[in-house]
Amino acid sequence: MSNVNNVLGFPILTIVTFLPTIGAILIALFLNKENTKAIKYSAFFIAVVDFILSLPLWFYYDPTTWKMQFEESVSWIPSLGIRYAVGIDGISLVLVLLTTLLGFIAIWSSFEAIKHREKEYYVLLLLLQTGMLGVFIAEDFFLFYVFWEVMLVPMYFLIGVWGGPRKLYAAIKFFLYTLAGSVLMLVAILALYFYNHKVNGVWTFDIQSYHQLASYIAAHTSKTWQYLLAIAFFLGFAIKVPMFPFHTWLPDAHVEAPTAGSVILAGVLLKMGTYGFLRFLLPIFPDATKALLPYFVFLAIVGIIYGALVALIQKDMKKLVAYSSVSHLGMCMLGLFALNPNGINGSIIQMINHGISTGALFLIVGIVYERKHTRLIKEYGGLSKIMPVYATVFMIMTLSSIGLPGLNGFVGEFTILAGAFQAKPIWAIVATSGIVLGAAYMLWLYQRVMFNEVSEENLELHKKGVLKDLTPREVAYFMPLILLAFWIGLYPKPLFRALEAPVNHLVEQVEPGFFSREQVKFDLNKAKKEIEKEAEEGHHE
Amino acid sequence: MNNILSQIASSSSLLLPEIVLIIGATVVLFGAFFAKKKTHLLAGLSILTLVIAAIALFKVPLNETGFFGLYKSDGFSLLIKVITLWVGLLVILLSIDFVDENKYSSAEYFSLILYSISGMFLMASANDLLTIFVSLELMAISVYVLVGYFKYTSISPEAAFKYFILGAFSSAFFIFGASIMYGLTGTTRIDLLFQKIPLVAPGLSLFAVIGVIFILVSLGFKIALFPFHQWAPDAYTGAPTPITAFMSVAPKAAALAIFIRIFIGAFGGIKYDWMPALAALSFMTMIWGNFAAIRQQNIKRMLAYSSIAHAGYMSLGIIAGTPIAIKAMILYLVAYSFMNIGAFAIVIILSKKDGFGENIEDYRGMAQVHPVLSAIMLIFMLSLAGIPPTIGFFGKFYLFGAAINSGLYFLVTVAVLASAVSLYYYFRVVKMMYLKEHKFTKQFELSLNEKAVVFLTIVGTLFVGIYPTPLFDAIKNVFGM
Repeated sequence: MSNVNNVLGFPILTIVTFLPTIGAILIALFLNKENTKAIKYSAFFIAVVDFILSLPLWFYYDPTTWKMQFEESVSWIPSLGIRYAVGIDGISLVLVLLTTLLGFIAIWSSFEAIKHREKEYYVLLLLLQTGMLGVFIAEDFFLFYVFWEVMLVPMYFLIGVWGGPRKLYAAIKFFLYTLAGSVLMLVAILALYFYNHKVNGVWTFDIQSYHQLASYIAAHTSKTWQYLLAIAFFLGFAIKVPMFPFHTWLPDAHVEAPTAGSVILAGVLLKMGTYGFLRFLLPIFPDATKALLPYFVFLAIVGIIYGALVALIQKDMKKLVAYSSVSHLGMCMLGLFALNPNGINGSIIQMINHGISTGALFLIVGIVYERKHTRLIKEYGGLSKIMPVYATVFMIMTLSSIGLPGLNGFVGEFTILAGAFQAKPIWAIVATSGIVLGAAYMLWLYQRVMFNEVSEENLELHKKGVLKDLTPREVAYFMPLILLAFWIGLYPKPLFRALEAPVNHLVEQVEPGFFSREQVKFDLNKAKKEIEKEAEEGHHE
Repeated sequence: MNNILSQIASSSSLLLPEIVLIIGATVVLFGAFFAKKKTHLLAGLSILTLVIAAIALFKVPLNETGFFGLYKSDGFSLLIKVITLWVGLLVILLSIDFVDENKYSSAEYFSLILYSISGMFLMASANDLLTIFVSLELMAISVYVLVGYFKYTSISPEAAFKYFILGAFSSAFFIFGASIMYGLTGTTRIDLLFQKIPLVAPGLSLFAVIGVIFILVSLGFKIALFPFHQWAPDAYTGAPTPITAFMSVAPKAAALAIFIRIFIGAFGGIKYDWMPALAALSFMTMIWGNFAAIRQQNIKRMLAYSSIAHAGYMSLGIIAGTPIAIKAMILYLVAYSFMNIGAFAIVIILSKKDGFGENIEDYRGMAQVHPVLSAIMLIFMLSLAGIPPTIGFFGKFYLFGAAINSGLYFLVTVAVLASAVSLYYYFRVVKMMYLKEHKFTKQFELSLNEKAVVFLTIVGTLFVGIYPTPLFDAIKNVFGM
């Protein structure tokens, strides 16, 4: 019944996923709520151990196959064919690592920021981590859905208890919005479940077997049925991403959430939506997706430009970063809908990049907010003079966010645009305007916050030690993000290698025969010879 | 004559649990003469009666028909009876302190609960329109009295009166519908109706339609389907809170049982004629129940409207009508009995002495003072809203799955969206407990019986939510599928 199938010989995925929950239970039961130091450090310790435990996944991952690895499977509710089945491929792998990394950074960054009900806060952050990891590793649809829903509850409380002035509104809006999407998805999952039984005579929620059903669905079911199910999945994921026009919960949630909440929200939660597209919508409903593609792409491109334009006019730094997320995620969606290896690779890399850069930007905003308790851009100015280290980190992350070559953002955006161009040049051309706008709002933000003269008030605050430069702890939690930004920017090859097999397999699922088509290749030598030949002919005349 | 007597004698073993309940109820009632204020003793006797009835229940042979086909013992009726017994047990445990504090005469109180349970038992097994009617009245009249038990307040008798008047209407509709059916077919037996109605329906369709509609209206009243639900919020608010908890599950389970007996059993042959009507009622019930619940400030009223919404979900099981769907409906009832009684238990514990805790506003900041009880309430609310890993999620998952399997895509979509809406009002309680500033000062101790109820319901809610297989297998085995 029970089955662990991986090179390490022990259930590493289960351990990585449930370690935070076990930690949370231990903290809840055994630590006194007055003992905040012990609570903080235990939570941090658990998250770091979790991150370290997740690293072997990267080193033992076999990039030559698209098949699921590190698999484990136990029968859970046998009468319904529900299994506890987990496993990862390259796509899950990078998202799992991103989650464990941001998990400990989020906890680390909260040490000073959270001053009340600490115990509940860290317990919830740890529970949230289990929910998110579970979504990325589930191989059983039921299990996936359970993790998907479970994760909403801690986030609701994180926003609702430790958030800003309109936290209650933002928390319930976040919860209701995403729940409405996911229950529609549940209907679609159930419909697939019964359909699969009708075709194969097996009760199962196994995701792979639904993948295998895709061509049968395309051939044997009505277009309406496919479209309705595809739209139900689309809504579930598009709300989570969030795509325009389902994005309205996001600025509220981001602005009201505590810093760590925003980091997790932008860094990981939104990726659950894009992951859903990759794992479920595209491979199970390739035909319906392709038929609806023009609408999806339209929404993605509108999201890119709309998000950037709205970001441009924000007065609140956090809101600006929140709207920039809408724009960046639109970019990810565009890459995804290009349905070719470049587009999808770029999209996944951009998901990681967004986790790094936007996560860092939220931390950056959080740092000045913690010191001065305002996020209004006009309250700052000239910070580079009094907070030089901060200015440096901010600069790196700004450049990473706008896609400067040598930093991670460039790799992602370039690959996405290459993919989009390959699919339809006009998509890439329109989307590029989003990048230009992105540079505009980020650089303008940087200029307004960092340059010009320091106001008297801020100078005073600096002298009092309130508006101080980064502490060693703060530098420390930025370091992994900065290193990753450079690493992906300069040497993205390992990342591409990890993604290659699963992404190619996905493309083959959506566009059968994609790789056997004649590829138009540009042969430099051949071209040279032809030019020379032409030139010679010209001479002869 | 001899034949009749021997038939009755041979069938009477089928009635053993009901006989136990009625004897027990009468003993408790007369206990008032000997132990006037001995609430614990009388409650103990009532629980003993329930336990003996439970033992008797499992001694009754399954899949047998007695009393000339009027009475039927099958897996379905057994499951409904187990649910009502279970709810009865929890409610009696919850009532002890309540009855003691309010100086009610406990003998009548507990015996009425037992009488109403015996009515529900009869309802679950009744295989004939008249048997259904009589047992329905036995159940309903006991509950009318219980609703009016707060006789010194103005709100409770008013609630009882409203419930009684509308209940009487519903009975009248039922008997009228039943008489039309009898006029058409010459029988009131469910299985014979199933054979005969499709034969007479085409020729006398108008009468058949009127008969079905009357019975639909009457049962709609009983399980509070829109627009026959108006009595429910008032009756729920006015009744003593343990009785509200009782009413929200047990009579509903029994009424759903006869709903299924009549509509699947008797009218199954003309299923496609009544399905649209019930689908429309179910649609409106889900929408109305959920949206009206949003506006409520009183938690009992909120739970009343939510129970209307839940009845709407459960009616999907009747519309689908397949064995899987009926099983799913029973599973949902089990889930509902855990989470709803659990939620009511918290309300009762909180509002026992002074009525503080009947408004959602009263829960403000409770998490800071009573973290464990708040966490438990949180889980009940999550379960009612259908968030995993709770029994409520599993109930919804299975019920909606069964409905999808029958092709009810549109209704299920409405149901899932409505349950997303329901999160809003369930989470208002959560919001008050966790997110609002601390204002809560009330201190209270849980008595042993209250602890038992909270423990049983929370363990059920969580355990079955994470590992539903045992419950699932139990239902499957009893149901014989």
